[in-house]
Amino acid sequence: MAMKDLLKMLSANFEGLEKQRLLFVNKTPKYGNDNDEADDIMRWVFDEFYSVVNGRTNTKGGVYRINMLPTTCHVYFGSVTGASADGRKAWMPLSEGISPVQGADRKGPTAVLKSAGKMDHVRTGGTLLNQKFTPQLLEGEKGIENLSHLVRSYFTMGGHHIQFNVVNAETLRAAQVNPEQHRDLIVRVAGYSDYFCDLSVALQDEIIARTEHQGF
Amino acid sequence: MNTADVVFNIQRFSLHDGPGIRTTVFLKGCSMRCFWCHNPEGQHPEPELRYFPERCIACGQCVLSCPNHAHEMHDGTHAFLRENCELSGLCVETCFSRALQMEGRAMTVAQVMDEVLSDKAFYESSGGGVTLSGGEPALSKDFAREILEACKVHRLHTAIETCGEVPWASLEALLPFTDLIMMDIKHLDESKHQRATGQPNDRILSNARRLASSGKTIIVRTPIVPSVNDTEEEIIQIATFVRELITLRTSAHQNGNGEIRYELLAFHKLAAGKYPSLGLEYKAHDIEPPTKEKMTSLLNAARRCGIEASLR
Repeated sequence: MAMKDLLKMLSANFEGLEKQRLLFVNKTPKYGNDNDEADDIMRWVFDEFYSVVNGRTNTKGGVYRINMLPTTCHVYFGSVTGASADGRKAWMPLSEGISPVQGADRKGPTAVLKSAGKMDHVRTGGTLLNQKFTPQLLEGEKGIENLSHLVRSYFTMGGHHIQFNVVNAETLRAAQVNPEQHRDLIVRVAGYSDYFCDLSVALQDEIIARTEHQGF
Repeated sequence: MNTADVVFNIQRFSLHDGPGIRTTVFLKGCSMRCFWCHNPEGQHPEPELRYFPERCIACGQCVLSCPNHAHEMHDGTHAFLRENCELSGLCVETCFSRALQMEGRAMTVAQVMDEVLSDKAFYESSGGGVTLSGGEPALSKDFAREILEACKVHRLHTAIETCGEVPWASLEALLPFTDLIMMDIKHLDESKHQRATGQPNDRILSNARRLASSGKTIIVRTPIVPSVNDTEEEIIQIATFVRELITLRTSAHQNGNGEIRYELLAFHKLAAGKYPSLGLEYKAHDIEPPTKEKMTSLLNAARRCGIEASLR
């Protein structure tokens, strides 16, 4: 595909081009699946970002460093960003921190951690990786133990920071419909926890959409 | 490492098929046809085309790509004619919405190991490893043995999930490289077993006895399926058989090698949606999952037989 055709599609926000959009969504390798081809692109983008920003002086005489922590800005940044070549439509949220694009990780959490582990975390002021689990996956002593091994292995790979949401999407959808019955529902948002019902609908939708990892 | 067979899924971060964080490799093809099967895509030994109409965007690319006229468009709606399909796979490549997918592909032992070893760090940290499931992994005897052997070279914990309905020699070949065996016993009554699974149970029971004598760690499992095996009487029969296996084990291995445990699994309907995509009919629609109370009373019945039993 020629670059000018791609740009035309993006400018059109894939209007009437659903087939081509799905080609990008479903038939291209994606970061978050322990796929070297996709993960090498991540590293290249990381290096570019780092070399452009790192060490630049700011107005107070200090220097800039890079962080990979958007807190909730990924929703805002998405709302001012046009369609992207991964099949994301204009104004939709971007991925959160170094978490894979919502729904792009299809090989489970170990593959996500492997992909994220390929980033050079030491050169940042911090990274944010968000993982969402359903409660069933972490049930009992064995569940907690497996979670701890997941975290330890990630840190062994050079990972910096990981956080977990343990809820199921059904609960979250129910909370959207009947907030008064779910006032106590706390979710990790991005670098902080908040009451789910106090979040904007866009952010609620985005938390629901984030991949649910289920055991088999 | 060049031995190849059809694999339909490699599930990383698998937590319920043995200790620790594991990868489960699902081999395609099964000797039984349990009507409630939750992995129907594992029954047929060859790759199969699956069609998910809810994902179809009616773009018509499959019609153009198929040399065998297995796809048609009628008034903007796609129809898949499974009887014409010869598995060329060409439609799958052009189906960007993933409405058409090939279930299963031939993989070599080396390809499987490549994927399996990606998560080695997680196995080492958690005491996990690799589980062969299916389908029935022992049907692909050489392929399964070579994978398990390669796992042992890397010092990984290994497990197999088997229905037991295979020649003894096929299971025996896997034993030297297998740490844990998970085996289903679905019914002790031969005719009821035959009706529910399409196969008699005599070979399964005799294989279970031989496995018990081998000294390997065994988890015997029974999926509790209402109308098939959800009475206390039926579970007591199976639990009594498990106690017999433990006795066999003790007489063959005085020092008490690997343990034998019993697990009850509740039937669920989560697989119902898989059947239409394979062109198969789901015959468990009218069955409701057993209640928690039911499972607990069956568990207690099993425990009264003097064996270690749990719900999964």
